[in-house]
Amino acid sequence: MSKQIKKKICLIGSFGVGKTSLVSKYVKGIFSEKYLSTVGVMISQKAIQLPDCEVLLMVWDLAGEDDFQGLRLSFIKGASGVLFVADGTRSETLQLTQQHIDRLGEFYSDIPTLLLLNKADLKDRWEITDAHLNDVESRVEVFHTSAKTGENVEDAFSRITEMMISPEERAMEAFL
Amino acid sequence: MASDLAHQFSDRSLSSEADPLAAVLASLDYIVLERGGDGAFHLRGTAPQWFASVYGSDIKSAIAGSPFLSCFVNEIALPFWQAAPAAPVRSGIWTEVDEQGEQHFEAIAMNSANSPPLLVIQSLGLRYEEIQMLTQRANENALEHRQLGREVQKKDVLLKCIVHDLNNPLGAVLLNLEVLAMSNDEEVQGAALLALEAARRQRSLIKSISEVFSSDLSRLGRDRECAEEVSELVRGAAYVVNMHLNQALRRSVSILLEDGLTGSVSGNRKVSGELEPFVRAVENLVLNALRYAPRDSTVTVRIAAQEKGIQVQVEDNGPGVEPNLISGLFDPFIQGTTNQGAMGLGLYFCRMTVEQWGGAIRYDQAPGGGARFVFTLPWVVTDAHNSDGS
Repeated sequence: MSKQIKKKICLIGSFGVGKTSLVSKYVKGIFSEKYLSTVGVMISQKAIQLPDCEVLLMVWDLAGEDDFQGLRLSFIKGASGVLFVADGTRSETLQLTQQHIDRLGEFYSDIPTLLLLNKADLKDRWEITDAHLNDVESRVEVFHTSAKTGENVEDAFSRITEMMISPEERAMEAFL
Repeated sequence: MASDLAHQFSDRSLSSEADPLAAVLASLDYIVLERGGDGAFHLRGTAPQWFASVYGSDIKSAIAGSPFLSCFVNEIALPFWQAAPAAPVRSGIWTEVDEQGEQHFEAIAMNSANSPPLLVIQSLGLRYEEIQMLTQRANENALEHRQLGREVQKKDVLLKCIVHDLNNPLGAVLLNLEVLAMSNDEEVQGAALLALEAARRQRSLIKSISEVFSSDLSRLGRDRECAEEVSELVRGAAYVVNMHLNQALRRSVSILLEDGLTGSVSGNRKVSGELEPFVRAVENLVLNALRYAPRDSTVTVRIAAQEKGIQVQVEDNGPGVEPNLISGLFDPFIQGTTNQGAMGLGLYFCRMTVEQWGGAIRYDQAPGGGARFVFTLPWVVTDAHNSDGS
């Protein structure tokens, strides 16, 4: 029987980009149209079975800050992965994400990261274009997600989980 | 469960009687943990009921079992306790989710010279709902503000396109009329001059509409941060009065500036505002007053200090505003029945300008029956001048 590996994953982004909705969709399969602001930190868990091991994801949903200085880096310590979240309908949320990526890179350059461009169900209202993404796509893998329809939500979390588990950990679990 | 917890730590903790402060804190849903020299936490006083129901009865495993709390203790509190005494460090709010639903907490690490390191944890209960509601409202307002800003931007672009399309052919019309106005044929010259005047007036109207609806609206929010010294505003008001002396004289009207500011407050004291738009606002009111002031009357501009800011009045002895127009007086395109060449944008501009600075404008009937327009601008509070005007 394989041992469970615990992994901490943080979601970072401006308020209202849909971080909590993405977590809710992924962990509980629920989406609510009602916007409910997160205060502080909300931690959810989800166990996922990989071919060679079971992973318990501790998902840290950090309240959206519109000031990148407000990001408490100490809460990211111990994280195995970070999901940056931006709202495709608000271009400034991508600018803030780029600042977050820079800042995080100064302290935790080796943590796997993904960028989720959320609200893919509202693509006709997107302000973020391919031109905006030229720079960012060279630095981080990008998923277009929709917490509402579920588009790419499972895939994005699966991808970051895959990135977080090192070959050594997999080998160790397989050996056990 | 709470009594079990209190019992377990009774030998190592201070009793409620010995530590009344800890008892008070427990009654307020705080748990106070003291960090011993061995690095272990000991309960001080009694533990509130929520602690055992959320975290169980063992403090060490409670901290280790809460991902947030262990992160706060290890990453933030420990380095803080190991450093010199300093102001408490707060964890910020976190939410624990269990079978009973969501519960919300905040931890505070304390490090004073006179006591051992303390970790205080509070269950927020209903206070969380208040904080959440305020955060929610602030975020929703910010999103709405952004949306409105986007709408204004779109209108601004549309307006600029319209102004551009109106101005372009007008330029050609003006040029040709100016040529025609030099004609030796008096009839042609007369007609051309009339047309020229109308075309110039049209250009002026387009400019006014562009200024009122474009540049000033797009500055919404930014202008609240403008500050101008009162001596500058007095200078601006005097400039307006002097500018229009001749125009007034031609109509046998006097213009008077009553300066109640100079000498009553320091000249470098600041109010919310900016000189150039202030001058334009005062000028709009003065021109409006001159338009309606009867011969041999006086238009008075008063500027005075008040508790919360400065007040500017522009008063005439004309017929006053028709009662049916008063309620919408500061709306765009409102014109009196006599019209007298106004476009109905001057007072709207004044309102937009003054309100952008956090001020207010109103219409009063002057004691003698004329019109009196009054606007106020708030003091800018600085270190040197507090809000009570001292």
